[in-house]
Amino acid sequence: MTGATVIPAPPNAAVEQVPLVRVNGLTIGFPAANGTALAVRDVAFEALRGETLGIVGESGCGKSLSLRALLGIVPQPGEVLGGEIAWDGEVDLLRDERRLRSMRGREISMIFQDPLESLNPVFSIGDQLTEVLRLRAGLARSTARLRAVELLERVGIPSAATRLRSYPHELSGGMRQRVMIAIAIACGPELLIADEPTTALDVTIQDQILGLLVELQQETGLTVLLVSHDLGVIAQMADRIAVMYAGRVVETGTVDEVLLTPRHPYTAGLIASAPGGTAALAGSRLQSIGGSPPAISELPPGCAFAPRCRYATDSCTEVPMRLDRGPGEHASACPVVDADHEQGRDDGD
Amino acid sequence: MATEERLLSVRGLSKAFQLRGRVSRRLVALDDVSLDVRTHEIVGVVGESGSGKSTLAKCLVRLVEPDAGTVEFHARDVLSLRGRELARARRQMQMVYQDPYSSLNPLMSVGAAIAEPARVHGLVRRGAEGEHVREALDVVGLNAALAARRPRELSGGQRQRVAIARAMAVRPELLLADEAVSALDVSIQAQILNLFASLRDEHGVAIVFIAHNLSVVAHIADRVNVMYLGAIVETGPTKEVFAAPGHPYTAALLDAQPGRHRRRTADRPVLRGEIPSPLNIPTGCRFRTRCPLAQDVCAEQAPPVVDLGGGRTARCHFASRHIEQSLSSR
Repeated sequence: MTGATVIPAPPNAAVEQVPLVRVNGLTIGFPAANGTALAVRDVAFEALRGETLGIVGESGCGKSLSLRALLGIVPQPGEVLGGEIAWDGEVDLLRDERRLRSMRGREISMIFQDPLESLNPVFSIGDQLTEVLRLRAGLARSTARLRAVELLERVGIPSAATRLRSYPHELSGGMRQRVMIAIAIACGPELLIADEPTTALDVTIQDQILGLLVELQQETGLTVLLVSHDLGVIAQMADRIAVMYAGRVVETGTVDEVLLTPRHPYTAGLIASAPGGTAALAGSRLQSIGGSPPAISELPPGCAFAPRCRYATDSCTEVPMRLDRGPGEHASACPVVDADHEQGRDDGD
Repeated sequence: MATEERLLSVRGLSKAFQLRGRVSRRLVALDDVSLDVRTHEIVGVVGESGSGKSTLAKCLVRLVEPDAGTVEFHARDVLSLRGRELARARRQMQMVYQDPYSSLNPLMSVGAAIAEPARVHGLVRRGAEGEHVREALDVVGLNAALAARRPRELSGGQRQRVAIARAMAVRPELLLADEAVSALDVSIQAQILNLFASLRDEHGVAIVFIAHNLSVVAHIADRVNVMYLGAIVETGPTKEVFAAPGHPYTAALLDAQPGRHRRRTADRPVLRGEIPSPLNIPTGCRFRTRCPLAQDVCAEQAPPVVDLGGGRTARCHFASRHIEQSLSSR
């Protein structure tokens, strides 16, 4: 991580920027046998224009669900129980459904892990792309077709004009994801939500798709919310990171702050669990986190990570987690390790 | 190393599948694959989709019959074994699969699932399985009380431990782990990787560890085989191969690891293009269509296996221990 490629600072960088999107107190529940299980609890994060916020965590931590709330597509019977999602400091997307509906696919668009599930198998990709352009951007049929070819070329699909006639099953996984990206950027969105966009792809293809996202971002100043379970992907792409565990954000900060000097024991454990990627560590044991993440219907009182945490004290099982922070600061929801930051850092390495 | 002997020896293994349809097509899954596994050794096999790594594992235990080549286990030709002898060889080579949700019978208790193969192989009598199951659970770090549970009551990590216990319960000498940690979250993945390492250290099994994730293989394997479109393109001690790859594909795979480059744009990656279909493998060198170093000779002649010394080989006309440098200065 050299940070060699820097995004040009927006002209008003000196002034305190209003985040393009700011989520606060987001809480999402599912009906459960013993009442309501909270899959997302009091989640807060924000993304400035043109930056990439990486959201990282393991299965069931609520990372995808939080982002679905932004588009108003929390799956039934899940329900948003509280919080606010401010768009450009003004609209609350949770309370203005009409506005949100008009923004979906225009200002905000989303790509998913499995493009085969998002694409309609019985229509050609040209049909699907021109449909978006006609409905969302209001283009005429012939113009939409020309624009569709441009878009496919932009996302790196060879012989784009011929490819318009292809059906999703005729394309490779990487090509399908490129088509999804073409559809997502068709109306020039300001925010792209990318939910594990490269998880199903081979690593050399993943590298190409991540590169494409960076290019699009540099060209258009797109803001990206990137969800991934892979710390490597997050390290490569994100400006800032939110780490989630059991429905809560447990740590936020810049990429370097969070990955080089983690302050929450879970973040440190996640980093130590990941095999190094070079042969330097071969032969040594990984520092794994014991146990497994709790089911959201059976969350322990207090800190949800306490049962797996080697720093846990008695108070951890009593006091609920809370992420204390001002905007843009490196913050952790762990009062124990935070109080003794240096020690936490040493052990985390 | 002196005490290690050759356990498994594979030579020239090939397998193609005929696909039926209006036009009959031939899918080449394995092409002239050779590898060795010594006792107490973890041998990694890494490659992307269509590289043939899973077909390789299936051919070793003859779940798929290879078209050509030899598989020797303890110096006995596995491909000619029949009946009781084949069953014995299969007991000694146990598979662990990717998905413990589909590899365990949801109706069987954990104890019954572990006892069944041991009973089939005559290692334990019906009615006397309890102790055997307890031992197997202990080997994989699970509480004996879990024997009464059903798979659905277990977490993903626990299920994979049960699948491993089931394999270990028949006292194998070789585990074939096919993407055995790929479906697990990273904190659980680390636990299972550590478990595989301890099975080797404390129970002396050798492991063929197949995965698409290079960093996982780099972490656990003593030696590594890099596969591309059905062939092993490079092999050698893991540390040395990944420190200085000898084949351009290995170098590219290493370079594509997420997190190695900050915000790299699409025109910078070493590898462009897609993996060719195994229905239509390029002539000459199979990697040449994506290789940044490819010359005319690569389309005309299949590259030889070049001996790089120190147990390292690479199948490339331009194989060298410093191929990565030539890639970065291209």
